[in-house]
This record gives sequence, structure tokens and C-alpha cells, in this order.
Amino acid sequence: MKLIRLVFLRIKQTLKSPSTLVMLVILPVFMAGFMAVSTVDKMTETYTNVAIRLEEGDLKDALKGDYGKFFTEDSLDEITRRLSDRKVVAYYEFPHNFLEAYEGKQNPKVKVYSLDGKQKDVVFEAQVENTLKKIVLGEKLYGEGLIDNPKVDFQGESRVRLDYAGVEADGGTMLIFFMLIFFILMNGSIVSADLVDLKKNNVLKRLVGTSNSSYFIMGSLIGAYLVFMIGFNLLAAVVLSGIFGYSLQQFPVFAANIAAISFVSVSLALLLFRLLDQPETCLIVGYILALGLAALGFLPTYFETNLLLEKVSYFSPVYWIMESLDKNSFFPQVPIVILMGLVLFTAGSHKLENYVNK
Amino acid sequence: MKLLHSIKLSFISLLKTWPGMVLTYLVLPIGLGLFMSMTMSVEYEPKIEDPNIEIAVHDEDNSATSKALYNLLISQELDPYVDFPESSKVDYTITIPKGFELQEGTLRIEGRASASRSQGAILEGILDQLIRTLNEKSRIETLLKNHGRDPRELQGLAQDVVEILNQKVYEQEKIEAPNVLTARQHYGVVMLAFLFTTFLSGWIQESSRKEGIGLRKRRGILPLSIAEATVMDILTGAIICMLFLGAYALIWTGIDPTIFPSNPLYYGVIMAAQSLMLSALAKLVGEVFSSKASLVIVQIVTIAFIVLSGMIPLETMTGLEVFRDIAQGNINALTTVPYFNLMRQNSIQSIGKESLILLGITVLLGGFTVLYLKKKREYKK
Repeated sequence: MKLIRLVFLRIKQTLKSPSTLVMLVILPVFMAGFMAVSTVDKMTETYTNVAIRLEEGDLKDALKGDYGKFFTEDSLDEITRRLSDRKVVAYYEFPHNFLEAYEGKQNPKVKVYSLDGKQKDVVFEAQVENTLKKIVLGEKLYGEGLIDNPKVDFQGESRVRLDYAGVEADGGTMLIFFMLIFFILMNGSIVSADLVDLKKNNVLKRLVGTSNSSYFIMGSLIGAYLVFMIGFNLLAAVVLSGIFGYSLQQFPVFAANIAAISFVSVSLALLLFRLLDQPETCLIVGYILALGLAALGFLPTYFETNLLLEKVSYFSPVYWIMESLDKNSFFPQVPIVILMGLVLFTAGSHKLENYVNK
Repeated sequence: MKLLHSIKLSFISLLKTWPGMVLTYLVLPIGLGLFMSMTMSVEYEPKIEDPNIEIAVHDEDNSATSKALYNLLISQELDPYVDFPESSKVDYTITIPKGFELQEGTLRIEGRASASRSQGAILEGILDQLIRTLNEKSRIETLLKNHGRDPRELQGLAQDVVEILNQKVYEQEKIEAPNVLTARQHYGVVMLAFLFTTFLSGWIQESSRKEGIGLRKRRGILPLSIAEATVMDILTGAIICMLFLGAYALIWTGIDPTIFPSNPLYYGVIMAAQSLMLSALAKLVGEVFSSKASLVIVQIVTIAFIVLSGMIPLETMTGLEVFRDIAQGNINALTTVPYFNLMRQNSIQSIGKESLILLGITVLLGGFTVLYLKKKREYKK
């Protein structure tokens, strides 16, 4: 009871610090909300900012539905200006009689203009390829007298259904939770800076010197940050998911991950507090560590074939959290994250009382 | 001379806290730059290459088409189990329904509760594509059969179509637009601006607090007025900022030559102007707020800059045209903010105007700082 009272006392004090409140609560909620706003519905639309010059014909008719507003009659000079203003990133110029030449295997060239000669729109190119395939196939069969209309779709509709034995994943909720988790990790630096400040101002020394056990004092401090982080972030996640209409089916897994990463964050803060004696250094080192751990966790996403990098990424809690969210599972991911936190906590709390009294 | 002395003092102060300096000004920016550069240079294409993914195929149709689908799955480097009970251990069970060959029924993928959702989505996409390919083949075969033609003719037809489709049609061309930043170069400039907006304020605040390069030290060692000392601090901050920016430019250009503009004049002028403004902003924020609060403020401002600069396609994402107007500079109030213009225009033509506006803002920020410090009791002596 005494510990709980001390924890809540400490939370009350934390709530009085505007900058801590902004960093621990407002900024993560703002960013998670911002990301959620950015992904509502419109993310599913084809996004492109290319300009296309293509004469009327079957190919243009087929592409019009998705790319109608990107067709242009502008001159190359005007396109250069639009490229310079970054209103488009690439300009596709189809030659005269492109389709005829293409079907005649004359190897016509579509020029893709960009400022660095490298920009392209892979989605657009894939769609052009697919459309060309349909047209060419239709024309061939029509030419053979096998069909009456060359515009026949031989591929048909999709006939695949995917179900899971457990709950479905909701990309929107995953995004909100992931943003919150990233900020929780980053906020370890704020907690460590707070602890250093408390030590420098001899607040910790005075607290340890009271009739309460020093373990109670430090436990209440760490516990307060933990309760604060878990409580506010869960609340924020529920509110944001409610506002944006995302499903909370995966809530138990998300909640477990938020609790686990909060423990890692606070343990990391404790370790930084032991190693560094300047709040500014704590902030910057914590910030770098959080970014580094996030980068490490994402390595397999970018280098899927590299098994060595995948093994390296196992050292990041972010990797395990991503896997836990993706697979909607607690084991073994959440216990591994907690173990990582325990390692940091043990290192940070070793002879803590002596350090505080120094 | 006073300026040189001021810069010397600043460097001495920085070197006194060298671990922090190395972390703040070298490790973080270069590490961030390397990571972002690395991720930008890799084309991310979702594919299943995870050796742990296990699938089972339960073939209820037992037809030539379902067997062809099975073979196509193998050709995708997926190695499916073919029957139960082994399938009970796998992540995904694919059931090919009866009548599949006759275009009836829907193929079902059943993922285990702990199966990866992202891999499931990729598997769904692969199967969808394979089925469409099979549909195409089977419908054309039926067509040939109905017309009394030999289905083997399909091979010749397919070969002809493949030959046509194998033509490489795209030819990349670089447009000559001198002094215009490419997307990557623009990104490099924004990254530098972002890093310095964030860290310069922390540095000045820390230095002020330590009386290292702050006003009190200036006034003690060099008998300066508050205004002179403020100007010295802003100039010193900008010069040091420029030195580091130059170093990053050299390092990053060595790593990725496409990330920095080829025109050193453009880069130099823009960076000098930005450094001055950032230094003045950092000075004001650093003097008024604590280092922790300044970090928060600068982060929020930076996020706002990125959002408003149009780096994120918010118009497409939200459907709100106001974001397009902001990104394209169609809102007059915002076009007066040079930071946005610099990030939007990317053109050497705007250097003169933008630099003047930046200098104006620097003067304004410096003026506010002087007014604030004059009211501060500790500097009144």
C-alpha cells in the first residue's frame, strides 16, 4: 500500500512538469493521431505524381480510369518546370504509334524523364505491363479468328479468401500502437534526464534519507514512470482507435507489448542514469539508442535475404514487438522483450542506493 | 577580432564536453543520414523468402488445374505439404475446392492464430496472381478446343506474346535543370535543417547554462553589450553550424554522391542563410526555455515544417485540398515563410529573395532575444 501511495504521489509530481508531460503524453499522441489521419481511407488509392503523354487509343482508354488526371499535353519545357517545382517526379513520354510498334516487336521506347534520371513509378509501370499483356493477347486471339472482340478479359475475378483462426489484424490500430511504442522507447531518455536532475538537486538523497526504505523510494520512482507510461499510452491507443474507427481485436497483445516496452524504456532510463551525469547527455544518448534500436528492428524488412542482419536484429526489442503485433502472439516475443528489460534493469539497479547517496 | 575570439571560446567550450559533442554532432546526424540513405537506396518489394513459412495444400478438386497450381507454388520457392495431418503444424492451409477447374468455388487460405498477417497478405497476392494466370491459360485452351484447334498451338501463341512482352520499353532520361535539387538532394537539405534545428538549441542552451559560450561569459571576457553578445552568439552558432554542415556534405557525398547538389554556390548560400536563421531561432529558444523544453518545442516545430513543406503527400492521404495549397505555396500567408519556400522552390533563382527574407527573420529573432535578455535580471549589470 505504501509503495502504491508513493507511486501515485510521484505521478502527481510528474504531471506538474509541462515538458515531461508534453514529451511523454502529448507528442506521442499527436504523432500517432497524425499518422492515423494520414492513413484514413485515402491510403488505398493509387498515389502517383507522374505526368504521362500518350496518344488516344486502347492503351490510354485502359489506363484512363486510374491515371486519367495525369495525362498531359505539356511541352518538355513545361514538364521541366513542373519537375523543378517538384509537382511531378517523372514524365512518361510514349512515342507516336507506340502500341502498333510494340505489337510489331519494333522495340519502341518510352522515355522517362526525371531530374536525376532514376525516378520512376513502379505501380504505373506494372499496370502498363498488365494492360499491354491483355491487349496483345486479345489482339493475337482476335487475329487467329478465335474471338469476336479483342477486349476480352481472360483472367477473371479474384477467387481467393484469407481467414485466420484468431483475430484479424487491423493495419490502422497497428500503426497507432507502433507509433506509441516507438515514442515510449524514446521517452526513456526523458526519464533518465529527470532522474539525473533529481539526483543533481539532491532530491533523491533526501528521499532515500527519509524513514522509507530506499528500495521503496526507488521502486516508487520507477513504478510511477511505468504506471504513467502504460496507463496514458493504453488510454491514448483506445481513444485514437475509437476516433478513427479501428478494431481493437488485438488489444490484449498490444497492451502486453506496451507494458513490456515501457519496462524496457524505464530500465534503459535507469541504466543511462547510472552511466551519465548530465541530463542533456542522457537526452541525446537515449534518443540515439531509441533510433538505433528501431533501425536495428527494421533491418530484416529492408534486407530480407540477409540472414546475418536478421540475427543482429534479434537484439532489438523493436524486432520482437513487430513480430508479436504481426503474428498477434504473446509467446515468445513478449517474454523476450521483458527479459531484455530485466537485463537492463539489473544493470541499472545494481547498488543503486550507494550511487544515489554519493 | 571579437568574432574570432568568440568562435575560439565556443570551440573550447564544445571541446570541454567532447563526448556529448561527438554524439550530438557526429554520431547521430551521420548515423541517421546513413540509415536513411541506406533505406532509400533499397527497393522494397514484398516477397516470401522466409524459410520458416510453412504451407499445406489440401486438394479437394484433384484436377489438372489444381496440380498445376501446386506446381506453380513450388516454382515460387514455397514448399507445400500435400496432405494432413502435417498441415496441422503449418502456418497456412490452402484448400483448393471441388470444381476449382470448372471455375467454381473460392480458394481458401486459413492462417493459424499466430501466423504472420503480413506474410499472409503476400501469400494471398501470390495465389491470386497464380490463379489468374491459370484461368487465362485454361480459358484459352478451352477456346482453342471449341474451335477445333490443337491446344498445343497455345505454346506457339504464348511464345509470341512473351516475345512481345519481353521488349524493354522504358528508357530513363535525365532532364537538365541546372541548380535544381533532385528529390534525394532536397531530402539531404531537409535532413540537415532538421538535425540542426533540433540540436543547435540544445547546444546553445547547455553552453549558456554552463557560462561557456553564453552571454555572461561573453560580457565578462569580452566587454560586450547584450546586443553585441547576442549577435556574436548567433554568428558563432551559424559559423559552427556551417562547419559541421560542410563536414557532413563531404562525408555524405563520399557515401552517396547523388544526395548533395552539384552546385556548391547554391548549397553554400542556402545553408549559410538557413544556419543564420536556425542559430537565431536556437538562441531565442535556448535562452527562453530549459534544454528539455527547447527540445520538445523544436521537435514540434520540425514536425510542423515537414508536414507543411509538402514532404508528406497529405492531400492524397486526407483528400483535403488545403494541404495541396500549402505544399504548392498557394496560401499567401505561408509563402512569406522562407523555410517552406526553400524546401519547395529548390531553385537557384530564389536564392537572393529567400536569403533576404531569412536574414530579416534572423534579425527579428535576434531582436526578440535582446529584448528578452534586457529584461532578465541576471544580465542587467
